Amino acid sequence: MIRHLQMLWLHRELLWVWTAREVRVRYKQSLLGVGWAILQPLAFTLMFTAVFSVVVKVPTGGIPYPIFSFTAMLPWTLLATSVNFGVSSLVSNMNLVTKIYFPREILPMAATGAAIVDFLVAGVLYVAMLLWYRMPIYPTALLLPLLLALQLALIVGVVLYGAAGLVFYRDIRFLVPLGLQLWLYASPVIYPASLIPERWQWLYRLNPMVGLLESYRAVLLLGQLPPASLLAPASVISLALLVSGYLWFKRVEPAFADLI
Amino acid sequence: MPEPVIRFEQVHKAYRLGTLPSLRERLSSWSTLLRRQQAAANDVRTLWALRGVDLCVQPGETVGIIGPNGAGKTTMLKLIAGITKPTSGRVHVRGRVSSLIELGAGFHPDLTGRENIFLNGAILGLRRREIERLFDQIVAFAELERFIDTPVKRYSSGMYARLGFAVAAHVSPDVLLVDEVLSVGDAAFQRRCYEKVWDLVHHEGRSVLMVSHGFGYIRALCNRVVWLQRGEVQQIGEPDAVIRAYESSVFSNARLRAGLNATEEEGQVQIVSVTLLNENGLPAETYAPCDPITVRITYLCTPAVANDLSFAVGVMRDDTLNCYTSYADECGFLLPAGYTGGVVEAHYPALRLMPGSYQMYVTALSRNERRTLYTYRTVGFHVMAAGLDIRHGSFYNAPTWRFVIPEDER
Repeated sequence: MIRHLQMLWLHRELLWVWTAREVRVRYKQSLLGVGWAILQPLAFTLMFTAVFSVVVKVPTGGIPYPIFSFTAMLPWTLLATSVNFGVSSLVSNMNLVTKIYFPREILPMAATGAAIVDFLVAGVLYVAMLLWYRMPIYPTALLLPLLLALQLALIVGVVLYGAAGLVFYRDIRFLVPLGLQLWLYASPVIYPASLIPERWQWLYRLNPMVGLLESYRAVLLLGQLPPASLLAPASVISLALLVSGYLWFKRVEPAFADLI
Repeated sequence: MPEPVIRFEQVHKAYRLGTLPSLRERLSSWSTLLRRQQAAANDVRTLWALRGVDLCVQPGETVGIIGPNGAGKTTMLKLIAGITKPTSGRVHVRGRVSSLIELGAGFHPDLTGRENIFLNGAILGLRRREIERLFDQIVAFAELERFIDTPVKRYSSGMYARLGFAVAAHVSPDVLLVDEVLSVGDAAFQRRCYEKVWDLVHHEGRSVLMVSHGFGYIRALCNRVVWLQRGEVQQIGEPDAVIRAYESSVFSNARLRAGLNATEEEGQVQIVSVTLLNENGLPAETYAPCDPITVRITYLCTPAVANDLSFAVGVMRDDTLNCYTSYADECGFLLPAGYTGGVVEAHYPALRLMPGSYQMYVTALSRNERRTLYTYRTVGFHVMAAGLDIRHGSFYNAPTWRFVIPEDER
């Protein structure tokens, strides 16, 4: 484990360069360029706003629905984009994996890195929205980096499992969009977690995104500390996924070049 | 004796042929223990790419690896580069390995040459500042100053090779692995690569492992040669001796395959020289897949066989595949009577061969007693091209294409 981490540290430059490459390649030949980073979550938010604040009323505790859902939509998009690009990162770079050695986890991690860039770009829009709706800025927002770190642990864990798994089973490619769709509805992105009946809450909270998204809302919109009963299980599960995902990834890594 | 940079200990490497069981198959095999055991028993389609290879490479050595296609040459390089792991046995490598296993591996086509240098340097484990320091040297070596901000997808294969080699050779690797890629550049660039490799080995004490079918380079650069045959080390030692042994084995296999056997009449005919000429009529050792080639045979014979003499020429791939053989008389060519020597030329309008190394063999034989051989002689040559590989088949043949507009839409 230590040896693997040393090797990764030695190649940290590559993580940077590869992340920059991901960002550049993704937007180089698209018309809107980095605008897509904003457009995607924005379009979803507008769509959900139309449905859930006009057609069906979702209780948001007095917070304007666009702000309510965008607060969760940004971290959700971070996860969805990372998983989408990260899971296929090994297979789509097969000519690299079979020809050159470097710590392979760099590829899925760089996909996450590129998603963070999108996240930050969209974050500018988010701040603008907060100002537009004259939302107060709470000091609890300082907890944001901690939440983000926990979410990154979750993302990298999932992406490492997914990317290595895809090398062995191509079926996973078809599972990703389906799984993300289900996960979206199983997370409090478009509705608050309190909507889930009390007797299902224990099951619901096994989804680490529940604790994370509710915590984002708590610190940004309500000025409260993250609800411990939600954040605690989310943190444990996220960190467990990261560590076990990394260990498993490194264990099966030598087989990648032979199988891809 | 210094510690070796590379040490192979009884290295075996197996590749599974065919595809992996799909998730569905794997799941159904979980359903019963019995079926899983069956699946394991059925799993016999294994290819042993290396079987028990031992090798030590000292710092400052240049080792050439030769052998027919599929002998395990590239597998050896991949093990050293850490791309794959041995099935059994151990591979020890000390220091930084820089590999040029395939042209343009590690380049991204949409990025410019400049961006790719940084990307490639980072893959090889360099810090940004180190790459910046080496940047000008790399660009100058590759002679790509004018194109450095062009996306590499617009590069020619020669430019790709130049940039790839320039990066790999300038990152001061402890071990440099070169697989066949140098053959793509032009003669001047090959010459500079040669000098750079020489420099790395003799002035900086680095080690170089090269796989090549261009035995000229191996002879000139290597102090040792490993001959691999079906995953085993057949011979290891001084370049000239090993290359000669390899070449003669290729031809003796070829003779067995062709059912040829020199008779006691050997000596009645002497093939003085066989020269291969390119489309400009100049002697050449390397050709493009579709190049024309002329085989010029200079011979002498005794009057006794002068009127019975015919020739056959053919091409043998280095794994002893007989690509084609043609007999002069079958082609409607008879030697004019009464000459006891001269020059015969056989001209192929196009080679139609895939990249690799080949032997052109020439045999002098009896016309009346078909195939009784007087003597034979071989000359090696190479076919080189970028972007052609096993997917394109065993021979090169490119059709012309056209779209036929359906009748009713005209």
